Amino acid sequence: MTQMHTTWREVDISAYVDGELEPAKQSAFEAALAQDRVLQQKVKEMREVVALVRAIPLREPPRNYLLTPSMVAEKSGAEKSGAEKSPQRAYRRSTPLLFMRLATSLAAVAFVVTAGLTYMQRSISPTMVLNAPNAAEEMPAMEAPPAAVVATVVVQKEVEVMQVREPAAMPAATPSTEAVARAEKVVESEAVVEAPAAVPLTATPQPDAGIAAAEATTNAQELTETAPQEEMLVLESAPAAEAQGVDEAERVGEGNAGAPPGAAESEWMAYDTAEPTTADQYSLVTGVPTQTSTPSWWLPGILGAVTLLLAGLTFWISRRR
Amino acid sequence: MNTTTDSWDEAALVQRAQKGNLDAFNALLLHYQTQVYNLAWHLLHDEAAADDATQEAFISAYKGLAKFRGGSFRAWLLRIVANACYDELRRRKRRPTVSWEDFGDADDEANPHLADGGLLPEQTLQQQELRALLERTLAKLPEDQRMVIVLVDRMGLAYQEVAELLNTRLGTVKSRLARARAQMQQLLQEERELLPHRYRLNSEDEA
Repeated sequence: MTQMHTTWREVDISAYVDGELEPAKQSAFEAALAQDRVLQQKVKEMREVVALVRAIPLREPPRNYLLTPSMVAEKSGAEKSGAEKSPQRAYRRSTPLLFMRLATSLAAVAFVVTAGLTYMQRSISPTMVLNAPNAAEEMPAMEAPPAAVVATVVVQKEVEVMQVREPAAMPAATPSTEAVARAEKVVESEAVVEAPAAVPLTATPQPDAGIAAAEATTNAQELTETAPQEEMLVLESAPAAEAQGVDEAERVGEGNAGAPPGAAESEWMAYDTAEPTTADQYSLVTGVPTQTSTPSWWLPGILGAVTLLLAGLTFWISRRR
Repeated sequence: MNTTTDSWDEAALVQRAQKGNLDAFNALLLHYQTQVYNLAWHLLHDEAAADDATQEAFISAYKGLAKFRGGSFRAWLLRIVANACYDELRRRKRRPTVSWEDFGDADDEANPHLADGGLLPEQTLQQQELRALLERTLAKLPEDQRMVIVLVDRMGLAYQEVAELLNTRLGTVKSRLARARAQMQQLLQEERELLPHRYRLNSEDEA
């Protein structure tokens, strides 16, 4: 009996009480239990302990833990918003700001470039034109005047003549038959000189003076009509050159208001002596200054306004975040 | 002993719950919430903490249903609450706090759930004394032994379920349970005078 008792350990007794003893051991244990009183006592004590532990019912939970859809949704939603949605939101929110900064930078660069170019044009053209009267005065003594000056001055003097002959109070915009007639006369004698102003770069000396006169008359009329529009945005070279010429001619005319018409005409006649071919060549070679002699500030102005607008929007977006 | 083989179709409920059916999950919850809460209580010895751990475990279980790959659903559920309790115990070690239960068992009387219905006042008192003695004795056991004896003797899990829950071998469960029972027997012998007469151990005269 004692030997039998020593062979069965607590773990076997415990498993036997629960019916969890291996089938191979089960029959041997039951055979020993039938004869071993000590083993019987051990099994009895083990059962009493188990019964005691099971005697007291489980604690009742203080409440039900039933889940509601909102409980599950709130939890999962909070987790997602904290872990996953933040980077997307940050990316989504930062994208407009980055775009606005880029757009503002581009607009600012464009503004600076166009403003710079316009200023350069502005600083070149007036110098050329303002030198024209002086050059015109010196012109008779010069056999070969600078081509650009000649080309500009020819047009300016043509308008100057018209301006001087017109009454001072008469608006330049009003077409004057006398001016037209005078222009015709001028062009008839200086068809080659007029041609570059009408069709610069591509103009060639017109052998037929009649055709040139007709074209010049038209140009003179256009010239007279466009004269008061100082800030007209003209992209085509000929009208631009004419407008500029009229603008400067008006200034010259004002300066020579006290001078007799004859003086201006004599100056003009002095220019008539210039070689037509030379003037034509000058115009062909240096036609660019006559084309771009009217710098327009509309593009830099718009770009500046756009830059300011974009900068304001960018600032607003950054502050809103 | 194994209460999982009930008439109700647990596998079907689990399947429906895995497809997002909250009602099916709640049916499982109602069936196991007492065991889940009691395991939490035995590990934490704090009703409020056990309550929080139980709720947290059920929410975690619902959200992690896709990870359940078969086997004992109860063991899987109890493992979740056990892990939640261990997390709480680790947190307590970092930030020790004083539980209201340290001031006495007054809340036991205030809790209507603890009152065993249909018992005479004397019997109720006896039950409360026995419960207090039992829980106090169980608390003295090493944690691994207490876990096994609570799961098997208090909640009625099979050995295999416990092995699954603890992710250990069946032999380990058997030996831990045997040591826990032997330890309980010794501890209860020391408290023999406090036990009701019918629960006194080694009462050979009664046997």
